[in-house]
Amino acid sequence: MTKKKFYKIVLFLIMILIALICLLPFYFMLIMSTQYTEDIYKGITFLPGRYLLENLKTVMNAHFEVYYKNSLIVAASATALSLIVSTMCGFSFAMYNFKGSKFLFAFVLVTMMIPTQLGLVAFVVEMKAIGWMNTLLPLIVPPAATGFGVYWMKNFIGSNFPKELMDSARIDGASEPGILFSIAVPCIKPAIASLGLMNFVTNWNSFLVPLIVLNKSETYTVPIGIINLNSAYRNDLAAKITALSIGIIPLLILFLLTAKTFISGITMGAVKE
Amino acid sequence: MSKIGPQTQGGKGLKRKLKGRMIWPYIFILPFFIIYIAFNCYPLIYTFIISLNDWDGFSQPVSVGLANYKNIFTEDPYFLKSIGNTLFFMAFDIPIVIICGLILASVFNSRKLKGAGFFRTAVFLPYITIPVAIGVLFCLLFDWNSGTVNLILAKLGLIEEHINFLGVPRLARMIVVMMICWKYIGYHMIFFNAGISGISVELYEAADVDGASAFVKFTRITIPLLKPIIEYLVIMNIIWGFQLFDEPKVLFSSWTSSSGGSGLMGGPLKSCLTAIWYIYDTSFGSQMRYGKGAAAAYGTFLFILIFSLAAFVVMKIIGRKSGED
Repeated sequence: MTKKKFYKIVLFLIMILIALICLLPFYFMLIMSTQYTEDIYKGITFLPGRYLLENLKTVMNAHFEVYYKNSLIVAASATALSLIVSTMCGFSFAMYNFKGSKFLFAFVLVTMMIPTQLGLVAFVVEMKAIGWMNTLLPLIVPPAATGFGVYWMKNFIGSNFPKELMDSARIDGASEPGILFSIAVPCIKPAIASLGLMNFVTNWNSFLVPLIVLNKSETYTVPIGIINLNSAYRNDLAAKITALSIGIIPLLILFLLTAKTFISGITMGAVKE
Repeated sequence: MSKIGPQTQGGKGLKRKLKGRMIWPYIFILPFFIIYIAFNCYPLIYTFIISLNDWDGFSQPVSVGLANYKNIFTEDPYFLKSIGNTLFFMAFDIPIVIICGLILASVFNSRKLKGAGFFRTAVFLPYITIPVAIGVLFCLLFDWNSGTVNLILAKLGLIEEHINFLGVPRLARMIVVMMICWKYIGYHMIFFNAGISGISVELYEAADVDGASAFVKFTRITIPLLKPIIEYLVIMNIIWGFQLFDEPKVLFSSWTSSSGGSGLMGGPLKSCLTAIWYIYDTSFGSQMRYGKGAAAAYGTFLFILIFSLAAFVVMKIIGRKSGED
């Protein structure tokens, strides 16, 4: 065996080991969701049991699908809104040289460094004052303005949308919003896909704000549903784990199907090539 | 930048038309600024005002000046403890995620290994999992009674009694560090991956001609060229580190317990209480002290500023020194 080949095999084994470390917790979770609660406490097994259907029945009785529906509404509308806001703002900073644009863009960059959680107390007071408690609105509207999204769109549009196109569209009589929505947007579809995926995951995962503003179980999103499984099933650990699996697997599948777009999106924002 | 100033175009009609169009850039940025100011700026400023009051959110607020700040910095030991815990986590996890991410990226980028795509996806999976679910997963793994790790160790005969991972402060902290690393190594790897693929292959080939070892290539080419990314990730890690909340909060929520208890606030002896958790608990959890929670938010902000600035300055100094070699 040559030295080079030996290295390659060692590397491959390390790679498998690391991948296993990353995947095993998910595997154990799936295994446990197919077992009877008593058996989980008895000892470790690596093979699936036969109680998956029973567990699923228990989960469905507790209306986990409501949490799902809420999470879908939140993630989808927050993503759509955020994409519109970020695209418009990024387009403006990338294509126009207007008065104050430098200062305003610096402001956008600074917002990226300030964690939104720090205003949490007043945010909740504000939500109470405008009657948004126990609605999904605090999870949809405020997250639409992200400095990261604007910065990211500005970079992408600036380097991918030729200015000549803008000028020729103007000569053809297109209006400025017309240029943005019917000429620029089709040019930046990959950017919209990546940013959209990132936003979707962030909003789906959101925990702190819903934990405070959602107090009624019919408004719970999936993460809040998961931590409240305790009160729903009490002793039934297997059912809880089944619900947990249902809560996270669709997102993982979405990621697996779109891994490339997603990963390139995350790095595109910060790594300049 | 596209110039649509009137000088570049001819004709008076066109001039007026273009001037009219200069309103559009402002309209385009308006939604962002309206939403940001209404739901981020305003709460940030208003939080400062609340921090100067004693208020439970319902009754009339009482102005108390800087008493809340005095309270969290000198009387209530848990605010500074939460900052200390957060720094403890960062001291371990930032070097680990950056070094491991860097090594993994350079090892798996340079060679065309079979299954590299699968590997990359697998390592990245924890990063996009719901943070709440990560807390639950680690709860399942390290639970005292039913934890998978305890069951495996017992089966292998390595331990006689189950270890109370989540009940002993020192162990609990290690579990939190492990959890953060498990989640973020893949993310860092992907970042470095993109950075490394941007480095020209010729540099490495030239080093090969000079007979440089893999280690020399790594320290002399890869690391210096990735310096901007490393600096960015260190600063962002400090900002993210102070925001840690979801995973530890759920990890210690006794999710697996059959009693459905509320769990330990901050982990055993508050050894895993994080800054955001402290703010949450003070304002909306066990207490309803909005003023104190708001003061803690500004206190945390102060620490974020100090530590990210310090990291920035230190990295600049290190960068200058290594540049002189």
